Amino acid sequence: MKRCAVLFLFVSAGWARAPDGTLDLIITPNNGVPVIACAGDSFEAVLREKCALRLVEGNRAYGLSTEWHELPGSVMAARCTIPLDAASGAYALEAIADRTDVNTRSVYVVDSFPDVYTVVHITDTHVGSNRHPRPSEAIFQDLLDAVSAQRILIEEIWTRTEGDESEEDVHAKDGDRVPPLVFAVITGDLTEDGDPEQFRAFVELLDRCELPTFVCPGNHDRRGLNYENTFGPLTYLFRFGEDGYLSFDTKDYIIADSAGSQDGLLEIYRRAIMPARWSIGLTHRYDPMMGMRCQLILFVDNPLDCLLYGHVHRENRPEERTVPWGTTPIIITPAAIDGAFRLVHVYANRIAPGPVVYAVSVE
Amino acid sequence: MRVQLAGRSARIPHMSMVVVVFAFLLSILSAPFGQIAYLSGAEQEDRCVCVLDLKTESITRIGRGQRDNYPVWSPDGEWIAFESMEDGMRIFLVRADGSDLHAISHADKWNRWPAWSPDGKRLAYVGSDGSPDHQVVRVYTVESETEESWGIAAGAETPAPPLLRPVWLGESLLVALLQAQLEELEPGEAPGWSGVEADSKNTLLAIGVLGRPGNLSTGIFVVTPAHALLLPAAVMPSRGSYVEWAVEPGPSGKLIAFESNDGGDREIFLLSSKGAYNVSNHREADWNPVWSPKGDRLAFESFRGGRRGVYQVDPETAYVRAVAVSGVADCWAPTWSPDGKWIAFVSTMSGNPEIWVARVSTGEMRQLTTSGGENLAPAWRPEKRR
Repeated sequence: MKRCAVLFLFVSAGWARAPDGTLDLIITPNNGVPVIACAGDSFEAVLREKCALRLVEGNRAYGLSTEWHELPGSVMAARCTIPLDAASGAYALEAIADRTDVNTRSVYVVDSFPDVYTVVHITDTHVGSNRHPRPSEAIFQDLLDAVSAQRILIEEIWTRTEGDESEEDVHAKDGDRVPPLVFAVITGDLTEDGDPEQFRAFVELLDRCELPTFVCPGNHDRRGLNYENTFGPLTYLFRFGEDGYLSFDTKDYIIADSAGSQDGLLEIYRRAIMPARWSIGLTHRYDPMMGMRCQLILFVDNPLDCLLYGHVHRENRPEERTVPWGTTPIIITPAAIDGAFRLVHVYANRIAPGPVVYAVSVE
Repeated sequence: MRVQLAGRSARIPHMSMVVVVFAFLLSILSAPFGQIAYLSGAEQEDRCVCVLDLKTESITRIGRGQRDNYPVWSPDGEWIAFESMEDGMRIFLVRADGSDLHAISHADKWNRWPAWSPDGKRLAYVGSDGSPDHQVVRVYTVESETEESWGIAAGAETPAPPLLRPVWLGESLLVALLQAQLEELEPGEAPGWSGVEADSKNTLLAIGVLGRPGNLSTGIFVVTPAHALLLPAAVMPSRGSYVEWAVEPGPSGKLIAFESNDGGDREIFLLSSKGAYNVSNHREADWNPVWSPKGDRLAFESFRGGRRGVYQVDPETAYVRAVAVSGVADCWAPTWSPDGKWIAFVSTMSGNPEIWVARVSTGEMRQLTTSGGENLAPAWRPEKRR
């Protein structure tokens, strides 16, 4: 088993987007759509214009060699190669043109990718809501702190019990031995009303997370283009080692968009991660009526191995084990605004949802 | 230059002038013509049905701007039916000039996929209460403004399966095939088909949902006022084995196009009197068959070029040609011009979804809309039948 000597350093959350919180020069990667890669790997950045790019963390900085090409709409894509001597860590991506733009927590350099790992599933943070006596921001902040505490505990157990014969079944004194946490996904309803102030507040809180964070939009986030202006693409894919993740947009209520561009992107992205060990879908909500084309692509013709979503503010009912259209297992996690999150453990032979963790008081 | 003709001096234009004038006339005569309905909006919430006049290049907003969707022209080109949000999803009708906009009075809250009958007197669509199990074919008669359910006989004990995306069968070879099949039935054989009369004016095809949650699939159903029956095995031997979608009867009545994942990936198939055959035949996904007005070509979407592109295929030879393909952008949603010489489609070649048009014979492409935002779901107005 590969060991991943991951070192995620907390990057100072200086405000690095445009003054109103929207994306500036750099569209991706950003702190909601980051890159996780090894030194020597390449990744694609999307920017509004050609510029010089560096990875920056504290006093460390690495210039990136880039190959530019233009995308439709006069947006530029840069194929960036991480220097071989880049140390592992959490970097901001810095772009210098006529002005400087910095996207914090955008590029995570790791020594290697583990075969087994844990993903934190957070959903429905509803920043800006008044659903509980405690402010939503305080609940989300405490939840991220609880995730951080879990991360430390799990890593300590994992390291202490390394070498035990039954790596997956050993029960350490302090709890079950599960793989270390490697990143978090936040599956929509990031905000209560989708307005720019709430997105800004969410981004500020997001930067408290010590793990890379991948977000997708929810129905509460669909006001205008505020989500896109904050995090860029509505649909995207990313790789983590041998596994592929496809984050797609179901923020539109009841009936998904079948006229727009997403269906085509879903087909391309689904094909791109076909060779992956696991193909895992992330979205805000699932409904059998949410567009036949989407169902055919993701669950019928080439079924995903697993689908994570939220929206319903509860976990799976007994009858909700797989997508109705096929065999794709579903993992539903209750809402973060209610103080909950879940760990999802990824092994070589299975994807195992952990129990829901209610770690935060909402009163 | 001057020449002598019959004793008189005459001036003959230079050849270059002739060429210029000829080219100008050719461009006018060969330009796409007519009107295209489409959706336009900054996002899905404010999409509105618009009509683009290709001659004047004027754009008229004729929809409601309330998540309008799925514009379809009546066969005579006088009306557009479309979906729009109002206490659910309703079907609206509007004239081509934007007048007489009104909603159909529905029994269900969610109504989708309007399809005009060949005579333009009725609309078929699916009504639902929001439950995936409750998806019923409704047929609306325009003149009487009445809606009725199709697919199930009054008092029937067994409910019809959920039905999706109905299309009118019209004068089709399938109707004759079905009639022949029905006449050959022995008493008690295929009891579901007894009493069914294949009637070209009262027959739809729809996609029916089969199986149970966890193992759902689809099949092509024949839908009449009182019946919803899976295509018989004699007509479609693979029925029930694969997941079909997007069934489209051809205008000639001899062929029916549909999608299926028979073979491992999604392909375009044609159903004829000799059975079903794969006409797109590529390892990458092929979607969304759209017949040319004469039925001699089939446009469809394919990922064989790496991205979503528009292609056409000869249904007799299965020869596929690219119509609109880009290495860095997607092209989709083809609609044919009435003369079959052009295909309008959506593309992100300019950065955002806009309406483009391509000449079928040469692949020459022109961008028709430049409004920014999203411009989607083009539907070329049919020529009025004389």
